[in-house]
Amino acid sequence: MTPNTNRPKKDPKAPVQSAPQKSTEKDASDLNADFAKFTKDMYVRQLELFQQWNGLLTHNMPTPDESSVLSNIVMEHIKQSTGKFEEFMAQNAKPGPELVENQRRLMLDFIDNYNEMLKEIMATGQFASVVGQALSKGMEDQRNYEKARDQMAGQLGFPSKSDIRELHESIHFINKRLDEIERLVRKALKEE
Amino acid sequence: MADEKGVTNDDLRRMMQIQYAIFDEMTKNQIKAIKGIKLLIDPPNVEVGMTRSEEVFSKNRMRLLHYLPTTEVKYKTPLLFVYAVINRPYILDLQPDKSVVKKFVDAGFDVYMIDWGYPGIGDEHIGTTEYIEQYVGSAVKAIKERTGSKKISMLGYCIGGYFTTIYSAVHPENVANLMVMAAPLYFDIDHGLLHIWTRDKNFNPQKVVEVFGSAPADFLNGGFSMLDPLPNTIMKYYGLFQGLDNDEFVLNFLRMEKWIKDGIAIPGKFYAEFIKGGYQENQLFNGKLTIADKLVNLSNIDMPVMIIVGASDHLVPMEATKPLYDRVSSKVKEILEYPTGHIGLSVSGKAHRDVWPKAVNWLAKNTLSQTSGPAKAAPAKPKATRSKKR
Repeated sequence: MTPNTNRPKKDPKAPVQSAPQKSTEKDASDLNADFAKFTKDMYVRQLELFQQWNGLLTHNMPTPDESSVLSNIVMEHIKQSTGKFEEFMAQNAKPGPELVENQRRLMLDFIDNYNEMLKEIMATGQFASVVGQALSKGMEDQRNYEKARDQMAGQLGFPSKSDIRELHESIHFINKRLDEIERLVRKALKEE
Repeated sequence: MADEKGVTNDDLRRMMQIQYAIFDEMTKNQIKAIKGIKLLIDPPNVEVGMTRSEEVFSKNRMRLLHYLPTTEVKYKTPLLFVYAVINRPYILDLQPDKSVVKKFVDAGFDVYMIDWGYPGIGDEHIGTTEYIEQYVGSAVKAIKERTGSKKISMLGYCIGGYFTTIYSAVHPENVANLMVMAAPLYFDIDHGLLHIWTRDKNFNPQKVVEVFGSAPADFLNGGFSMLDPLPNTIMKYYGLFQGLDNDEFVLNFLRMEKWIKDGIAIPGKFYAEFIKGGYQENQLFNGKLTIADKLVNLSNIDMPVMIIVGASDHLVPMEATKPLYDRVSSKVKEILEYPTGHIGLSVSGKAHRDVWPKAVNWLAKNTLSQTSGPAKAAPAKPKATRSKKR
């Protein structure tokens, strides 16, 4: 991960700074700005992702109240992330080799937050409902496909998956019967 | 010195310093990443389940393993481990220094374990009754015949705990001590993602069964990964990346990965019964669960009971296990709660330091108070079995 090098162009009319001390401070300030811009870009993209999640989960929600539950979760996390980001920037956005470590820490912090947000979203009835419906639809499609495949196998004279299942079921009931006979024989022997 | 744009040598040095730091980090990371990717693509064969055992009984795909004693068998009552029908039971014996099985074997218990094998096509008809009566029941019978013991102790983990609890309620005459670990027993709770996802209106398990016959391992693992999405998917590889230089860490990671990927399908009948009768109707606690047409009454459990739970268990929240305490009629009962997760209970170093010595002592104390006289050692050679393993 590299910092954004697309710095804003300097005003050519601006006075040239020649004092090394001041220049270093300016450089530090530029680097801060670069780091801030880079990290902000990252947050903006994640924010777009949050919004897409929100869009996906609130799609087809029957009432505005239900969709607002999810919006609130997402907005709350955005608020938290932004707060953490600002705090972090105030304390850590300094130039130097520690830049990489700072970015790493920021990313880990962000991932934790993101994970918690996903868990909260997944714990809502809305998420369960959307996934439940999608799963149900997926299973119906799969069942139709398997039915067609079984029919084709039957027409070609091959045993289908259901034929094999039926055979296993018969074996299961024979085994069950054997167990029962064994139990009765033991009982009879005991009585003798 | 500064050029006309105001860049000084100091600026350049600082920029170079930053670029070098970034380049240095990137190079090191890429070398590490290559090592990590190689490990994941072609993992070395890591040994799991190293405590020595022999197969002494089998039925269909189920095998009953007997662990060979490492010391004199001190306790007359055999101990049977019943693991879940999800993934493989060697999580209880993952590596020698983190093996729950070994802890009990080394303490002088005569230890057995049910290995469910890999259920497949033809096993869809196995339901709760079959698991309790035909499988757990057969294993208990086989152990009693081998050892001459009238009762056995049981330790059930996860769904294995569901089985051992039901078995103990249905056949209390066969159970000397019951240990239940992170078991989903009570389902009327409003948290835990699995509890929310499987609610009646959202999910019909029968649809999965109609298509697949059984609930496929990949389908189940996908759901489990989502319980803690980023740590279970992306971040665990980040963790591997961070710890690549530590051989012991890498070995532990690979053992866990092997176990996670070694999933098994849940037979369709049991899957549908468990989701509907458990998560959706809470039948065990509502007194509506039947086994072989008989109602299961938890108050029939009168033997000593130990309930072991992880306070941060995402899969089976401890509130799903602890209510058992108030429903059994046992005089000796105890809850052992520890701040760890579902898997952490069996593999974390801290659990092996703090939980298992207590559990071993508890069982030893109760076993000694129930029995007298020397323990009968189990025969060394495996007994012939009627059913052939498929």
